[in-house]
Amino acid sequence: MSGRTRLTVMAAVATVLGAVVLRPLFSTLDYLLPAFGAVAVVALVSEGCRRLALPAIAAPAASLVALGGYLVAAYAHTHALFWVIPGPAAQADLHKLVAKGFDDIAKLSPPVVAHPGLLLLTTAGIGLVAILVDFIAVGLRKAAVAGLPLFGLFVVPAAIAPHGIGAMPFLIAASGYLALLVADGRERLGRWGRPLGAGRRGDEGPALRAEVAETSPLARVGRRIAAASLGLAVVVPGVLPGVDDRPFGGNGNAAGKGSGSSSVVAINPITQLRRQLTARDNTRLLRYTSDSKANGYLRMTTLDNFDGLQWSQRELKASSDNRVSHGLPAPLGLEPTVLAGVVNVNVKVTDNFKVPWLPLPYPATQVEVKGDWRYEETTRTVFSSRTSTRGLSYHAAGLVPLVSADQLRAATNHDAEPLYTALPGGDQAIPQTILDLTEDITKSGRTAYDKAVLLQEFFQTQFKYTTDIQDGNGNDALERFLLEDRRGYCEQFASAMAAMARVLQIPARVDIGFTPGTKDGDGQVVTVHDAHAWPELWFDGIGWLAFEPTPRPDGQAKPPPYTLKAVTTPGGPRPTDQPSTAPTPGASSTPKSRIDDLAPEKLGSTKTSSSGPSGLLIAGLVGLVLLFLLALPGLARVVMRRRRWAAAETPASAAHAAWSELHATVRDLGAEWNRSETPRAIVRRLIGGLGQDTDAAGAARRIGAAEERARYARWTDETSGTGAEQLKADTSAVSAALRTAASRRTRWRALVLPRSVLAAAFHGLTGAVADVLDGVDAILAAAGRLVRRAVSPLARGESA
Amino acid sequence: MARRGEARQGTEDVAARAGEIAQAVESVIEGKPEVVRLAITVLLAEGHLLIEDVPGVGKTMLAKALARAIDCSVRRVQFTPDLLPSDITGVSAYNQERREFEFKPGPIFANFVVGDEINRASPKTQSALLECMAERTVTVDGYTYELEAPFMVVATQNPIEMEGTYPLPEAQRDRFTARVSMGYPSADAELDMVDSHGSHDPLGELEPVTDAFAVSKLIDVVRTVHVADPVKRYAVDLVTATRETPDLRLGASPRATLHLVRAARAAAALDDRDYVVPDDIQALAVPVLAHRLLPSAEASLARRSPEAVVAELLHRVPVPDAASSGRPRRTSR
Repeated sequence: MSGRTRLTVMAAVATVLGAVVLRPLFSTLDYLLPAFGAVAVVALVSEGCRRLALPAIAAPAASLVALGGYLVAAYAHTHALFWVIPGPAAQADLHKLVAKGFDDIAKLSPPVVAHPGLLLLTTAGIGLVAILVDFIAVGLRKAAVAGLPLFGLFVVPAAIAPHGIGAMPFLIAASGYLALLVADGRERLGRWGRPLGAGRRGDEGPALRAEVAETSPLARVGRRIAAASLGLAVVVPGVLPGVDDRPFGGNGNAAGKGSGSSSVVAINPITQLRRQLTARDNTRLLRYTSDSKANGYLRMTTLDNFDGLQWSQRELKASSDNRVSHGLPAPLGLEPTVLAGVVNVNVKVTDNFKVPWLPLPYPATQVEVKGDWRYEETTRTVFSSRTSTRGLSYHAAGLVPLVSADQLRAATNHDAEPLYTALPGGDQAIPQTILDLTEDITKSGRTAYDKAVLLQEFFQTQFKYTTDIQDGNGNDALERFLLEDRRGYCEQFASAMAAMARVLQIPARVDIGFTPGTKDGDGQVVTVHDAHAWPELWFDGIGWLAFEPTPRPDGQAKPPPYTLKAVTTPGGPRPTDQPSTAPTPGASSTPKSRIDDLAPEKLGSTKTSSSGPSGLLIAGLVGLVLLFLLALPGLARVVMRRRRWAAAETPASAAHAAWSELHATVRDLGAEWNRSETPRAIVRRLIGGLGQDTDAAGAARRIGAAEERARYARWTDETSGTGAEQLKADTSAVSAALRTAASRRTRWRALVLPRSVLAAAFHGLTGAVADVLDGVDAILAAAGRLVRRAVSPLARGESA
Repeated sequence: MARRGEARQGTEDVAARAGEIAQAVESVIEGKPEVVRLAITVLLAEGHLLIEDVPGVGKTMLAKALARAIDCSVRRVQFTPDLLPSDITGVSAYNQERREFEFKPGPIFANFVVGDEINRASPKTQSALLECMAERTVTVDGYTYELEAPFMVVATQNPIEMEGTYPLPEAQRDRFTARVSMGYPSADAELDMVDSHGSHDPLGELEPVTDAFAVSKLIDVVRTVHVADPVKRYAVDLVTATRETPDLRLGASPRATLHLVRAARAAAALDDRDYVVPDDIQALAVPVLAHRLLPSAEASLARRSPEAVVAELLHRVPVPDAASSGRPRRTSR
């Protein structure tokens, strides 16, 4: 195969392998096949153009046309002429698919099922990358630069996929690029001529053998260098904090909704939530002061549609009558007879936070804010289509319903919109396993409230909070979360509990907003880490009540008081004076002491009592682990010494043991131990360093002589020579003398960080790495042979 | 372990006899024990010695003293530009009485052949020595004559820059086991020399301490000295390194490896040791290897002699240790 053809093939291979990095975005590998087709079309057409000796630019142009044809054939051939020429109908088809694809991109969070629209976009993208790579690597002969379009493939999942690319897809993709570079190197080398000293080996045909001999040492070096740098590239970001999160400078959180400026954080309701929680930089979003100690959540919006795939918010519509400046209506479902406290908050939003929803306590009764902010009637979401929260200051008053467990037990759940108990049917229906689980968890509860508390308990006690989990949509993800993993973050807890509540016919929705944040002077600071989701359940006469299934370990998410056993005892906390029974707009004059009474002391106390001793315990444990780690090299040294002597059964092995022990001691003390020195020479040098210590010198000489004899003398089984005991004593004597001669610092270092152990560890590591590299070499070489064998008829045809 | 015992006994013998020879030679050549030791090593290694130095430092004296210390046949050939090959090997002359050709052996038929100023002879004559040195046979007129054992050529040569010299061809240099430079004696040694050589003739007074047969026995003992595999590999590594280093245009030949190991055996026996250690190889590497090597143009320009290159290689080539003995090393494909 000629160098150029090989380059073309390698460019195509690199692109296909590069496409592997998109794997985290899709739930299956289905997207690869059409992509492979596109790359193949591009490679064939470009190579054809080059064979016809057309101008260099012809190849990408023709490939582009061919790619278009391929896309039509693959996705819109029903209305296309001869399958590939798109008529108006086919164009409409394509347009629809593209729109659907973009819609999916906007709506779904990865990993997604590969719908045709998405596939079309992906295939087109990969095809374009293939054209670019081919043009740059083969047309322009700049294989290294062809990494740029390939890198473009990396950018997409790195920016979108919640867990980044992952090591394996990255390695696969990188090896493709590597193969391209190697092919390019060979091609260049081929033009320069054969290097001297190329051995004649291999038993393939003469032509093949020449090719192998020509480049493989160089190629091997190249592969090794590249493999090593790739290894570094994989390892280093994992070790350094804060590198992988922000791959392209600026604010890595800028995503979605076209919020172009880099300093702006746009929070889309749910797909973005997780990114906020896992973000490494803790951008301040807003600061607020509240007149209540019991700070509640600040809600932005509500997701009330559940289609089995995901929760989404209804379309927010509001007439100009619904401007918040005109006042807000009475909260839905909250009977005037229910006691409620009032909380007043003053919020100052930073410039980093730009969303169309106003974070407010729920239910808000009064909002004083500049700009055209309106409320949606059913959800009470306050939003703006004209302006955003960026830099905004506003005041809001909200109600805190003071309800007891008894009240809630007595409440029914019929008055909510039917939407809130709607569950998807058909394909997206909740699986029986989850129905059974829900039934199982809540069977001891008599009322809807009891069942809801049982659900919350189920999540709080049986689950672990983590942001480090596989993302996904739909029932598979729900099932996995509920039945297998039992770990996740707030969005999953909230969605799962809301869905299960709906299974129990309790109206439920998912709220998106913020936890109270952290205390900062007289107010609270909310950062991206405080982004939160929680379920709200409907109780007739009381309306929407928040529940908290998320066992967030940082204390940011606490189950509300009315869901706690301690508070659900009959009576409960009861406001004593002047409760605001009629929540009306502008009820800020209502005393706030009630709410403060409600501050969950119980929780507070458990928190301190648990963090005190366990904190100490953890500190102690960490200390112990650290101590152990510190002592580890020294301990390893002792173990190695024991093992050496334990292996000393014959005079020869005793000599070797004494010698390697001496070696280790010398290394530990940082002295020189040259591998080109004979035992005799080493002993001579050591004795020189020992000064007047003649006993030690004699001992060292004995050890050296024993080792020399063991290594080089005629093998005998006679037990003459220095005995193991003598050698052991000699070794101790020499080691002691060497240590005495060394400085105090060196002695300590030898004790704590023995170089011999570190070197052995390093040696083991490099050995393992070398083995892996050798394996990779072998595989690459074998693959290269296979490819050559497969394409050699082609090459012969060309050279003929 | 009878064999080991014998070898042990043998090396004791070798060490003792060699000590006597060395003492005898040193009574003539003062202040050069290491040169004397190397000469004896080469003798026991069945090799040939090339002594190179400026005139007047005792090259010929050393050769003669060594020959005298051993009671055996000694011939001396003074190489001159007009020397013919037959002057060394001998000629077939027609015997009128017997009416047949009769072989008149040349000076090469002796236990010790001292070739003085060998590089003054023409290359043709020099090469006449080749067969004798390597194969220990002489072929004249189709007849091949065996040389006596022990057989050792001790050649002296002046540095090639001197006038009227022909450089020894590589092939011939390769046949010498070792090359040694006498070097000027120290001031004290020179003073002693003036005393001793002024008043009497030490060489003439030198009594043989052993004979050819005894030396043959010693050589037999040397052959039994054990060379462990790691040591052999070390020798090979070292020689291979001379072929691979960019400082040398011509590395050492496989014959050099053989000579190195043989000389190391002799050196071990001289130390009363029945096995070779890498130290023996290291001590002999420069005298055994350096004269066979040709420095590359760069090394010549940098005035790096082959001796310096070999010494540097000694610092680079690792000594095989217990871990690497008996196991093939990891080599790259």
